[in-house]
Amino acid sequence: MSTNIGTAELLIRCGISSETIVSVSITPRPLLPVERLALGKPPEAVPTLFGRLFSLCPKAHAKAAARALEDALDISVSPNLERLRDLQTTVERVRELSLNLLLASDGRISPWPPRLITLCRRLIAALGGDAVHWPAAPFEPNAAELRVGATELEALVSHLLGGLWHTPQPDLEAVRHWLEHDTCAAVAWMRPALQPGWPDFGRCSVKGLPMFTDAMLEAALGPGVARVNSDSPEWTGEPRETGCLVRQSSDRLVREASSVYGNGLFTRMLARIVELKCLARTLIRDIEHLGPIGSDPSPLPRHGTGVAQTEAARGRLMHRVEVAGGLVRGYRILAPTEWNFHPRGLVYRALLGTTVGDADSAGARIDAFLHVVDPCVDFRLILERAERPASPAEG
Amino acid sequence: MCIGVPMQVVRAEPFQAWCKGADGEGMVDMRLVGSQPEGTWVLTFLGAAREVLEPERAAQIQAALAGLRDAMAGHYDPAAAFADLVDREPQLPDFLREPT
Repeated sequence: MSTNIGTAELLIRCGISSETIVSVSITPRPLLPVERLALGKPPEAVPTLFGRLFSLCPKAHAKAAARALEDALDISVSPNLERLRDLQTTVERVRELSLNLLLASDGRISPWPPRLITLCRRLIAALGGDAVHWPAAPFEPNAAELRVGATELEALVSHLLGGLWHTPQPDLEAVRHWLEHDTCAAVAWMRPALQPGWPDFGRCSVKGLPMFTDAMLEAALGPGVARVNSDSPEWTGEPRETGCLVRQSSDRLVREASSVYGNGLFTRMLARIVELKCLARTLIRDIEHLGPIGSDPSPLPRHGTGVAQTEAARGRLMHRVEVAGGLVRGYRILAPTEWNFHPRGLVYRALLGTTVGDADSAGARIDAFLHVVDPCVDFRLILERAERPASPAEG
Repeated sequence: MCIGVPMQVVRAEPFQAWCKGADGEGMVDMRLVGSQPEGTWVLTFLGAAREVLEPERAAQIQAALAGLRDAMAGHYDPAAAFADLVDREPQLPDFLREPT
């Protein structure tokens, strides 16, 4: 196994014949032994530990770890503390959605990304910072800082989304008008999806990952017969999708786009825009109404097993922990990438049988599709000429 | 996974910077964080700087990644790693203890 942590890439190999993808082979990325770092640690250390390790989305991992540990140790926390954790992960998702959009849309240095990064850091600190994951003493969110931050956030997201931010309930026609006339960063990012052959590129049939109960989580992550594979997870016998499109599938605009383009590139990109707008509005509204937190001085049992799930920017994140003798003895993390890049899952189904044109066109569209499914996955794409068309059952 | 790597700016250029980190040196896209002076720590992912890091935060993330590298190489020492997070005496998990 390579010890270069930053390049744990997955390999996607597509065979093309007569301008059609006739074979797809997905080699899952090597799984890193991240869970091992928690073993032997006291529970209170684990949320911060994973927050340091998963430094791109530390709040999602810290929240999932804290909730799994509280489930294991039968600790109940106040609803207001839960709200702070949720708002921190919302800030994190707004940041990731915005940065991935900015990184892909603009080749110039702009003052907006550093402002956004700084603002998100300030908001998370005002929402309690690391203390929310294992509060040792009472604390309060910084209401004044949050009010100032909400105003700044509105200006930043308004800049990113342009006219769409101010349109209460846009329909598809309004989106098309926005794409043709606006000059904001979101339009610069999404406009390629209007090119011929792009809007429904990757259209396929794949079910969304349902919201799991604790029993379902334990079945999927625990040692029982329903335990899912870490590199090719399935639920009820089939691969599932998780992420923005699944989360926004009930949104009226996303449903309208789906009726025209299915779950292809246009709808996927639109779902990310819709989610960014929705999360920012939720954040601006909710940080005005936070209550006192207090502390949660529950006694710590020394044994138990717990599970938790949370929505990270890329999709559903699942944690399971076993505590014995006051220390972590077992841990398991299932990340969204493993669902979406299952060897026979979303990406496989989206690409196999798709008409792609010449090699340049194929590469650009496949690359755009993979980035909208998961902008944070390190992949290597290989396009090769296939000798003959394969049947749909072949990979 | 959502694992960024801290790197330190060695030489700044208008849109990018030559940086060094635990896995070596390389050119990093600086469009998200802006041009940064030599010595600045940045969190990098897929060749782009995602955030400017305080030195203390960079050291914490580096220590976590060092623990992960050790685990990958088969010589992770849970009693020594993340010592600043543990108030009590750390204990090895059962499967890592020497048989007595």
